Amino acid sequence: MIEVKGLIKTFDDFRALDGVDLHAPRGGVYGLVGANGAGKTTLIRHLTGVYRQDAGSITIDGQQVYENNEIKQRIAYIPDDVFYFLTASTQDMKAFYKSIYPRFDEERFKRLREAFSVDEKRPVRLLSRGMQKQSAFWLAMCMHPDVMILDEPVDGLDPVMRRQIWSLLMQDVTERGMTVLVSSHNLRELEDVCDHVGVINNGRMMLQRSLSSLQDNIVKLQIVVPGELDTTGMEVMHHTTTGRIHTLIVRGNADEVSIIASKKDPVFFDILPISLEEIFIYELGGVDYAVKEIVL
Amino acid sequence: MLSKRSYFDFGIFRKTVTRFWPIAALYLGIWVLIMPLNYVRGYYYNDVHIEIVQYIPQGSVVMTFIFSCFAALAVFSYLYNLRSAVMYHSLPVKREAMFLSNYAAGLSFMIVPNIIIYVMTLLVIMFGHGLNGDVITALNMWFASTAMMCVFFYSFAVMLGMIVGTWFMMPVLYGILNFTAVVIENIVNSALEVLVYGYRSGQTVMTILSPGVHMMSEFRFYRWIDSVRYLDMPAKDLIYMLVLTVVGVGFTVLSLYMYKKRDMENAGEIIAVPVLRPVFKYCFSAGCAIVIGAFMYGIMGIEHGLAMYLFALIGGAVGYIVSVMALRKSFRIKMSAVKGFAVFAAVVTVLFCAVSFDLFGVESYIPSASRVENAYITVEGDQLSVSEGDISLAELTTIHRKIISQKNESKAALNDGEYYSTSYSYHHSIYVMIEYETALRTVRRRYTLPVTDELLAAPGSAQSLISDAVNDIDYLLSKYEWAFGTNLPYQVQMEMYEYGEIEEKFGVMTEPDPEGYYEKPDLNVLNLAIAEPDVRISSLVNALKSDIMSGGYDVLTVDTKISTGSVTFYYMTERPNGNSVDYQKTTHYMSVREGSELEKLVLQYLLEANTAK
Repeated sequence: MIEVKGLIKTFDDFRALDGVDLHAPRGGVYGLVGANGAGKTTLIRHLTGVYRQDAGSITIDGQQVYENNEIKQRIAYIPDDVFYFLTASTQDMKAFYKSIYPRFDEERFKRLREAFSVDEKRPVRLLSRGMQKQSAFWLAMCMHPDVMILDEPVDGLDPVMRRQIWSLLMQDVTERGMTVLVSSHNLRELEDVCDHVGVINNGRMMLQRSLSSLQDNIVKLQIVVPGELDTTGMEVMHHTTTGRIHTLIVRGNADEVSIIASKKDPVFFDILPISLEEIFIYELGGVDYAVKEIVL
Repeated sequence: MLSKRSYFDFGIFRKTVTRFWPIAALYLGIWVLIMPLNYVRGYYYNDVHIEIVQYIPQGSVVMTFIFSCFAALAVFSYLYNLRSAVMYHSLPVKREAMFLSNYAAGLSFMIVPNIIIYVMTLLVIMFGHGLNGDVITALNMWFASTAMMCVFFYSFAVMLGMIVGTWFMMPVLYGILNFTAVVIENIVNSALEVLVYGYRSGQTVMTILSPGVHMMSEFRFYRWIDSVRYLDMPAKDLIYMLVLTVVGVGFTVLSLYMYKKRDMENAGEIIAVPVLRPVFKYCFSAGCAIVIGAFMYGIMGIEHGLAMYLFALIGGAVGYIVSVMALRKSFRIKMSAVKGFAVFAAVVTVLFCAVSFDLFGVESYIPSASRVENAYITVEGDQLSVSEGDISLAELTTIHRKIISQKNESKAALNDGEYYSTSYSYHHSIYVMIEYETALRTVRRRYTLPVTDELLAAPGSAQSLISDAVNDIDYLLSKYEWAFGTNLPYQVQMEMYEYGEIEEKFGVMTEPDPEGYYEKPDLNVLNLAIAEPDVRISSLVNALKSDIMSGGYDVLTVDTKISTGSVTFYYMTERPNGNSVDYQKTTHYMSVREGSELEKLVLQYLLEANTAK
């Protein structure tokens, strides 16, 4: 569905994207995660046809996105900081989008009125940040997009509205096969909705795969052994010790790691579930982006 | 596969119009006040059709100049903010369509009100004063001219909007570039007048590149015939506006190209087109070198080419630093920027040296005789024309070459401070203006030359050649033709500058006071007016003729020949006008030279008047 190959983008002397590859399958939710300044927003602006790449290709259903109206009509994009015209209300913005997006569904707009607590006649600039986000979702969902691209989509939304919006989005994903690409730092939330994850760092895609295979490939091992722990045979990404308990983040699936752990003559060991947040932290820790111990 | 091409998006057009309609409303409102409402009230000085075309050079130019900038700034304002630029360009609208829809919306802010004004004015005049062919022609002229100006100014503003990345730079560049040609030409000419010996700028030729200035100063859409004004659109003005329109269309095409190539991430940059950033930096530096340099040169009062060079360098440095800071959006400047300034300073230095040492040959330039249509030499106000036969072109160019060859001596003599110029008494220096008219332009040179008895006596010196030319008998006869005619003045006013001169020469009058000053006597003694039929008038004229013929009016008089007074001759000349005769007064002011026949007579008459009193 969304296919990015060898994407390169340079701003003056700074290479923001350095050969990024991305593959987001149709009807899935793809979570794009990365540190601040990793290149997520730049990548998204290429996906929405705003930026022109220096090299590489960006296609949706095999067609390039840049300057392609037919593809862009199928994309709805909600940036982190939504733009609206100075005096425009949600209704005004609806009229504008309706004149631009042929698939804009007026009936859907009416039906969704219940879902959003937005005063549609009030200028958007006078709404709170959360309300502005709601307004943006409301309008975006009326476009019947095949691809929904979201950059920090739920910032400013209260927990109820977050669930509401994710519920609506997931309906479109399941019913219409809409593809969602979402960039967020809220990894706990992504974990609930994403089926694919891409981790981007310093303009490069570090890894991307389905969330399940990602979680299958890294485990958290707690183990107690008499004496020193020998980690031979394990690809340890992180190791902490509390008393006699060793906690290790190990690359590999749970069965493989259990077999290796059992050979260490443990007093006790257990394989614990690992969260997306932990994967993110320990994967980036391997590329020198870790929480640093700083004494103030 | 790319989607099919579209060149207009009505949704974008409509949104832009509905967002920024107040610009059109304001434009319309002002024109309503200027034109139709004015005619409803009947408040106008001329015929209506003349009144209408009178608004073209001023009203139309000013209105389209200002509102084009507003409109372009408004409709493309989304390009200067990353949020809005991202939103607009994530829409399924191709860049051609996005550009042309916004462009059309901005242009409509002026064209549509123009149409409304046209119709309103037509109706007001039709019902209020009666319509005629002249009014319709005048309205058509107004509409066509204003529309063409709109296209040019608006397209120019849009093009600048495509170059810049931040909103405030667009009106700044728009304002500067619309006047650059005129301002730079004037300043450069002033600089050349200091640096190049004798250089004097002629008529400004660059005004044509500042359309606003050119149209306001040169356009007039009526002409006088026997005290009546008739509508007139001179072909050159029409061609100029058509050329502007074509240039405006060219700007639009260029703008579209830049828009298509524009990288949206440059929103917020001073200059959005990376390749133009060095151009901006060096042009801005050069502009500051000229403008700040000229300003400093003006206020510091140091009249020397070296000072001008240093001030230009300082101005250039200021411009360079500011442009680097603006482009980097930081007050910190990297050391690497010094290299760029070194190159700039080297270019300025080479340019100044080239001009100062006349490497371009401006100083010694004399047009070839075959190209000269007429030439003049003006010496202290006395003009000798080649076409009038006062002087030959060969004589004139000989004098000019001699002046150039004496450059160093003349400058050295004038710099010692003993020389000054006055046209009333004796001369230590003179102003000489030389002009050559060719088919394309007028070449002007102006020199200040020292004058001494030695220089006047030196054979072949510029001063002696000039003296020979201005004291040529034929020239003098033509110059003082009024004195040699049969008509006598109806009145003569005599005046001596110093009372003591009368007493010294004739041994009368009062004693000086203890401080050595003569008491100022009654003015009648120093000023005397006589009128027809006083016989003394013809005596004075005859004395003047005698002085002229004997060379007493040598314009290059030195020390020993000073002016001691003046005589003003008032003539009444008859001029036939149909069956009647008009009378025209002419006045000829003559200084009284020491030792001349005229001085003797004036002193005699003043003395007689004094004695009689």
